[in-house]
Amino acid sequence: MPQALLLDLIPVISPVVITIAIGFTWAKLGREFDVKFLANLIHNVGMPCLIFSTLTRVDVDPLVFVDMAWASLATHLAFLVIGALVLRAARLSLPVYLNGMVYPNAGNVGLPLCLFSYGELGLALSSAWFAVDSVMVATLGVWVASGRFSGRDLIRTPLLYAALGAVLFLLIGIKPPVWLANSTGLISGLSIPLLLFMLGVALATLRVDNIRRAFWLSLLRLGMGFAIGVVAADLFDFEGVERGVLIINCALSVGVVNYLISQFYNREPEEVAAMVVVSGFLSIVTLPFLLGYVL
Amino acid sequence: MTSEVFAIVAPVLLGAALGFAWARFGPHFNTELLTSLVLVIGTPCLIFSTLTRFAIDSEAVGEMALSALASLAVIFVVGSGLLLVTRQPVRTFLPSLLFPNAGNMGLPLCLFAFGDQGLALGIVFFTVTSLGNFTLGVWLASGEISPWRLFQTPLIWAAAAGVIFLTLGVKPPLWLANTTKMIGDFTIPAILIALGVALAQMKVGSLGRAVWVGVLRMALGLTIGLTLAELFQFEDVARGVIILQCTMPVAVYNYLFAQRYGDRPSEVAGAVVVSTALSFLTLPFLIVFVLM
Repeated sequence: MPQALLLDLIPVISPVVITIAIGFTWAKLGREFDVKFLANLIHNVGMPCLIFSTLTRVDVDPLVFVDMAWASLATHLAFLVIGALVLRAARLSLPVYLNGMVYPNAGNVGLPLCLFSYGELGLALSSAWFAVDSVMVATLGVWVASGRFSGRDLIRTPLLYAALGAVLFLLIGIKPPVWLANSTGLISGLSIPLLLFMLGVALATLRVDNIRRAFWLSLLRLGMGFAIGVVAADLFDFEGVERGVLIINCALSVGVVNYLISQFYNREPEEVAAMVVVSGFLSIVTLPFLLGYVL
Repeated sequence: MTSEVFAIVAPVLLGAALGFAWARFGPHFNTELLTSLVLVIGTPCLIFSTLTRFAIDSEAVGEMALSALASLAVIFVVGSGLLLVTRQPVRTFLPSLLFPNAGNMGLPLCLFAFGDQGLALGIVFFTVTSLGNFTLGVWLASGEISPWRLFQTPLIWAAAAGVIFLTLGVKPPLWLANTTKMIGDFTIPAILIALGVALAQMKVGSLGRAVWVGVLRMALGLTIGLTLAELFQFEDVARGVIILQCTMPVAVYNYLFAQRYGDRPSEVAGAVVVSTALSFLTLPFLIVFVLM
């Protein structure tokens, strides 16, 4: 079973790996790469459209949605508390490392993975988990990385409006008008490839000690995520698809969005890049077992 | 119908408006980086992925490529004739008449008006005219003939690879299809936003001739699009795509080349701005027309 799953994963993983490799090569060839500009473009334009269009595209039953949303909130808070305690104990900076412990790749890996494992219901449930995740990234995540709580920063974050707007559409239970869906869907295409190029460029400047630390933090992210997912699924009495979706999302690798935010607020982005990539590679190994466990 | 048309035009308007606003009010917009990412990585992936993803037959692709070439040939003759008769500098303005904005503007319109099939045919037209832009266009602007420039653009290699898969009738492996699809997806939004930025940053000179050239491009384009649709007996999607693509405003690249080779860039900028503004007005009618 795990071997077949691994083969099925190749088409899902190769776009990510190849795009990172292109960014890496681009940087090694010494070609110009304006990371700050791209971070700006993705943070202000691409990512808000991606979150809005991903969240509003699926059909969700509000009741099912609400249960999963609470579970998502609870698991995020658990990541936050445990992550903060461990990082404090290890004397590592919270603004740099904490977000990576809390926000996994729920959007670009979790959604397709749940769709692929459980069909439309899996996608809908995973969207509920991702909706809470997006709102938290746009509020708490930005706050942690910027190092200060500023109402002005918050109201100037397009991510927040996109996430709240999408949640509003979901709760009312209507689809956005076609012109809006078309526009955000088209523009959202910017985010993932450009983010992955940026990751590749960041990797080109990594040193070995970045990678060692990233390795331990990645193990923590994946191990803690899985454990909290299993415990939360029991506490919420989740079974079947709900249980699987919750555990899968909790146990994903460090989210690319953390790299974007740390780049935007200049919080040692290369450290976060190392975490994203190392945990990503580790999860290629852990994913087949994870899917074997929940399916 | 109104909301249907708006759903097709809105992504173009919003994308360009975003770029325009960014250039006016936002931080530095790195057009050079975005353009080189688009040229070297994004567009080749988009071309390959669009050509190989959908069930279009190679015959339809060949006819669309041929009609795009025909449109260039006809405009070359008619356009230079008109410019000569009216005593305008042919080298300066012929590229503006020849090369429509089939990428930034044409591709999203083809996509939202006709779906995936439209995008696939639209990209064939775009590939031919942008290859023309990089060879014939550069020759007109710089006076240097460089046929091997054709083979320096990654576009042609991507198109060749796509056509090979298409004629053999095989699908590329899933990993390659997924990768080129994901990377290609950033191309259209990036060039749309870049269009808005370019419109905001262009230094427009005297508008007199620019208005004339801009209007001529649109009128000539529409006439030729309609004629080619009849001649090639295009129907439905193919007919819509050829008419839409031929009637696009002056391509931004004409301005970039005019600027690089010092050939009255401010007047070419005027032609780009005038024809683009005009097309925002005419687009809804054009869309209604091709959808009927």
